[in-house]
Amino acid sequence: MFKLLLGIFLISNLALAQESDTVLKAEEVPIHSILSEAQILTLHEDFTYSHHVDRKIVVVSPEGLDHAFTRLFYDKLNSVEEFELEVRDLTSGKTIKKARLKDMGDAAYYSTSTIFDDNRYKYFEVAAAKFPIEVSIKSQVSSKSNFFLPRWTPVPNFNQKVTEASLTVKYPTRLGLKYKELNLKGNKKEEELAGVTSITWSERDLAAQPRDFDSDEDPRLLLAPVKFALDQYSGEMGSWSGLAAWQFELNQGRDVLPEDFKEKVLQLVVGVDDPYEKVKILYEYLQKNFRYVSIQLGIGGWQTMTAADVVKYSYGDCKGLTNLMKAMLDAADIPSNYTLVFAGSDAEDIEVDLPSNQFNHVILQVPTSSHPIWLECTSNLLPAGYLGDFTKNRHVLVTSKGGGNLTKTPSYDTEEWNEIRSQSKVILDDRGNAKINTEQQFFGNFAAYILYVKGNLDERQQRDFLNRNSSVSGLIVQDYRIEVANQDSLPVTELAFDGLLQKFSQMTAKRAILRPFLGKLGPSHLTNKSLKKVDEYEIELPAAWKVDGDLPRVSLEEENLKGLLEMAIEGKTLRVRRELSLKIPTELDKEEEAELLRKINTAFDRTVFFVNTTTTQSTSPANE
Amino acid sequence: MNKKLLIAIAVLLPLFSPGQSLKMGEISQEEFDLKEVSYEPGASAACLVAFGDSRIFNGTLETQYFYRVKILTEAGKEHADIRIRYYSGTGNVENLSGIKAQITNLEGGKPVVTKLDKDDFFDVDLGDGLKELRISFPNAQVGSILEYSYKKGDKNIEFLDGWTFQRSAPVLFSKYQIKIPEHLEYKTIGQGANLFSKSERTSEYGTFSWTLRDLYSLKEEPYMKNYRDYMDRVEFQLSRYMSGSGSGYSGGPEWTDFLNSWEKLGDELIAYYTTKGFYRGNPIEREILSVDMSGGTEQEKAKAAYYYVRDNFVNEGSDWIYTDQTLPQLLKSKKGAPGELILAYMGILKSLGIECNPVLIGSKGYGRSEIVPFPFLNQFDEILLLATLDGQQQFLDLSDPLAPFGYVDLDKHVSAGLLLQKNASKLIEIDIKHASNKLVFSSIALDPETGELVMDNAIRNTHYEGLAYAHRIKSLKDENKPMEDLFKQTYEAFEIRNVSVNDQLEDKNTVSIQFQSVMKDAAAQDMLVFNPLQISEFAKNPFTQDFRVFPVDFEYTFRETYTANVAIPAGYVLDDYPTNEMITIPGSPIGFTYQTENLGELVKITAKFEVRSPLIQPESYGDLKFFMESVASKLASPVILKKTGTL
Repeated sequence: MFKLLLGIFLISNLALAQESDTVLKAEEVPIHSILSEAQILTLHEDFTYSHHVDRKIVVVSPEGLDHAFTRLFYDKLNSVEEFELEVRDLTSGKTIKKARLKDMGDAAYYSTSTIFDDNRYKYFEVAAAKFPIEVSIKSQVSSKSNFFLPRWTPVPNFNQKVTEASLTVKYPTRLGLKYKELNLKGNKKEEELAGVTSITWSERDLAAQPRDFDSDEDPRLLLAPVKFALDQYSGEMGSWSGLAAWQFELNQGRDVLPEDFKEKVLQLVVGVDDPYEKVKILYEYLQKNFRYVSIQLGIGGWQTMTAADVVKYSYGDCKGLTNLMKAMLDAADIPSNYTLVFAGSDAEDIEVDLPSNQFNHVILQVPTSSHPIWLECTSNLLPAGYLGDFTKNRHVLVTSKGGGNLTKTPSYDTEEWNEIRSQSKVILDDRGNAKINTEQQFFGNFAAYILYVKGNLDERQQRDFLNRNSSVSGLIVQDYRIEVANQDSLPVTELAFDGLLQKFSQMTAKRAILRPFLGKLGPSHLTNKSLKKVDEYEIELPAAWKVDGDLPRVSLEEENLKGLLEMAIEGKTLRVRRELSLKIPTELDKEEEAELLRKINTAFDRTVFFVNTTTTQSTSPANE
Repeated sequence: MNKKLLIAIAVLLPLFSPGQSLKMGEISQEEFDLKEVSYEPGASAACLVAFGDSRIFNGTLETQYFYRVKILTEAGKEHADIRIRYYSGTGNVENLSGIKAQITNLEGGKPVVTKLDKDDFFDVDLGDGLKELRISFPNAQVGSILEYSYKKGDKNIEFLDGWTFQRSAPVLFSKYQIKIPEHLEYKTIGQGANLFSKSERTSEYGTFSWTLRDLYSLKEEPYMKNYRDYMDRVEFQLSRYMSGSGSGYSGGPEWTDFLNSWEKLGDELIAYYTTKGFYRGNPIEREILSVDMSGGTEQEKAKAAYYYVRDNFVNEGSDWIYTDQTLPQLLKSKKGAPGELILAYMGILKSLGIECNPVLIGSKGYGRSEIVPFPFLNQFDEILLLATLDGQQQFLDLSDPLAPFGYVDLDKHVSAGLLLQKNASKLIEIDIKHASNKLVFSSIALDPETGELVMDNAIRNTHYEGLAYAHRIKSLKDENKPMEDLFKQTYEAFEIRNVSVNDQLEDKNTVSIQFQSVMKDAAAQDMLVFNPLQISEFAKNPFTQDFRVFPVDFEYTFRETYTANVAIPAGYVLDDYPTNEMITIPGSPIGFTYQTENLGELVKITAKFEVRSPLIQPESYGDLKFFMESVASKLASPVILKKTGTL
């Protein structure tokens, strides 16, 4: 049988074409379409603007049809004014399709999190069978506010070559305009006529970008007004302070609490002197009694609901909940600041040198004599003073009366915010199955995830979480508990379980080998740039088992990595202690991270061999 | 808790619990007192009552819906945001009216009711005729009881949507009743294990009802992509209607069949496809004039035609039994949905003189695990072809642009379908034969020069295992990623080198991959400890949940065979190796063997993992979980080579 199998493989190996696919970097980027485009953005004295786009796309393959897809956003502040489209078959020269505004589809932007919104779009999809085709599109949208100006991206799609692209911005000189050019290599022409400044940016012959193109290299132009208005609220964005002052004014007067509610707030903090304690009590009250509902209606996308309405409905969006929390703290004589942030666990930081509306979320800052207390008012899980990965470690705009300032949220990248400890007792039986009791303590960022597990998963899912995250596979959880033991702002969770481990040891012909039980580190252990992990085991062995060879001892001390693995036998108990301490350099790329993980896991996830001195295995190899 | 005991409690509970009120505001003390769902502890909310009451009035189906939901945890507050989607179309096909909602909170032990008004309801036009009513309950707290009701009018009375019993939260009580007028007759289509084994049914004066209690919430489970096919549901298909009043001179009332025979149903579909041009020969013959399909066997002709359609038409759009385009439009656009392409392919085969016909099927995930045995069209959503090639019948499909001739999309591997033949349409069994296997051969040796332990691995994936690999390879190529990524995660501590791929799926039904996995500095260690069979995805048990609600679906039968030949290096002895093992579960739907042979200078390790029956019921889950854990443990077992000290 063996020879036969080998034979099959020899033949099949010979038959294999010897093309090596190890490196598959395409040398040329396929081009699906070619774009030439002129955009004109006209800002008006009344703080409105219109945006006109005139584009020609030569679609050379079916994949390029997506590049000709038009989607025009509208809501209560923005409207679609004009749309004209013509598709020509470039082989025959014939026009094969014409469309206007009335031919566009209309749909709501669908969000699973937003309940009340008015975000919609009109769209048109081009269909064609033969290529190349030329798609000519003219569109115009207008906005009632210049608060938010569109950004210009000369190469809007991957696999799209751009022959020429231009953007002209016309604006009343007295209103002012700020911009930031990123990776633009073309020309800029500026002129002023009769109080209107006109700037044109032109780019030519831009190469097609592959799908894995580094977005940092993407040419783009960011725009922001100086003088602006939204509804009847006008302001100046010349500085961060100006924008912050305007935001403060926009919410002015919307923080009035109903008297009975104010009374309740005061009752909650009666007799409490410590400012953090007061913040904590009120924050926990907010978390318990108010829930997050996303609401994005017109100016309501930027202006908060009134605190009274949030109290009335017991729900609000990030603006409404933050504004209410601010009002509650005001009632308790604790000043706080409504703070704008660009949120998202993978979001890039804002452009700090372009004061403008770059934000999508609101949090609250409570100044203290030392570090401010940060509150994420949409979370009903996090402790007061801790921001999750949605808003941590980034620039934010703190608003206050008459101004504000840019500052940074905490990064939580020290060991105290990234620690995991575990203590396990294991009793092994003769057949290799085991009883296990484990207690784990999670601190900081790791605790925040356990808070989610506790708050959002049902019992079956929690047991499954324990099983999947067990450092030994085959865990059957019997009893477990998850407790929250936050230390002020530091999230702390304690997790304990009793369980059975199926086949904790593997039986080979001569030995019993413990399955790896210390657990491997994965990329998630490194995301917060530091880690302290201490794991201790007491493993009670069957009496007949004797350690085979020396017990491993590993000690490693490098610039950013300290590690120690110690094992000792006391009677029939194996004691194991592993301690890892890491500081991850910021500049480490993915490959280097993977290499670091491999190194740690190879060195520190060791197991132990035992010889069973009483039994003889019956399954000897067939031909020994 | 013991699962049998759980089931017993679930069955007994209805006998002890008083009937839930189906009226808004009539909340029982038990409902106020409920803190946890006994059979689903930790559930964030419970649907206390779900009730649907339908009647047909003036040619419209009117259904009064009523729900009562209790929030049990902080996370359960998300149930206070309700979304009700309906199809309005251009002619108000469905409409909602009479929306009422209220929330009840206990304050100081007394119920406080807040009624919602119009401002709390938000109707959103999603586009394409779809609308969504959204309700956001104010003052939602842990312990709140939310109630809402509305009436939905539906102008379609040929097929009635009926009722689905499970929801995203566990359902304690779900009842649906329908009053069928005397002049209409419907066939009931029931589905789901609970509906057949646990439902309480009544039938009285034309009103029929079904009640189910204590249902698990709907949650995803691994190895079950199409749980929709296993949900408990009742639906109705109009079968006949009465015309004539029976008074005066008009004669007695007469029943007219609405539901045809399979033959008539088939003929209607054939007529539909004919009007769309798919049964006309001329356009298709012109289309293929330039393609040489003249020579060879029918099998070869069919294969050539398959690749012509697959490679010259863009496959885009939803797989569906109805077509958006006519055949001439499809031939012009060169782009079509799978259903359109397969009908065009049928035209080519017919023009080549090959006997072939469409087969309508209800694909996996379309809502049914079994075929409905009466002529009910709505159960079908996709098309296959049944062709006779050189005397052999073969099912053909065109859903997957990567699939070679003869492959049928896995969602279409169902038990039966409707064969369309003029005057002779009928249900037929579908049995798609294939030998989907994975054969892994590893040759393991220590390189004395580099001191590396090198595993030369060859994987040969056949049929659907090969197609799955072809998709993974294409995805890496599309993302411009190296082929090493195929194995990186599995091997962790090993370095992956020299990956080469040979896709011979079209000619030999195989995708072969060769690569090396290398343990560096191996020679420096006194004991070489390594796992010789690292490639199997079953080296980790995918079944970690305590219990199972839906069956485990491996999708198709397959066998994976792993062979590793370990050459004993000079200066080493084989010190230890995993023991032999052969395991299965009752009924043997799945099996595993592991064998070690010492051949002197070589140790041969062979493991076989076989799925013989791909659908494993929840009752066998405990056994399956234990089985898979044993497999995982074995596949992770090491071979140990020990230095003897002398070369």
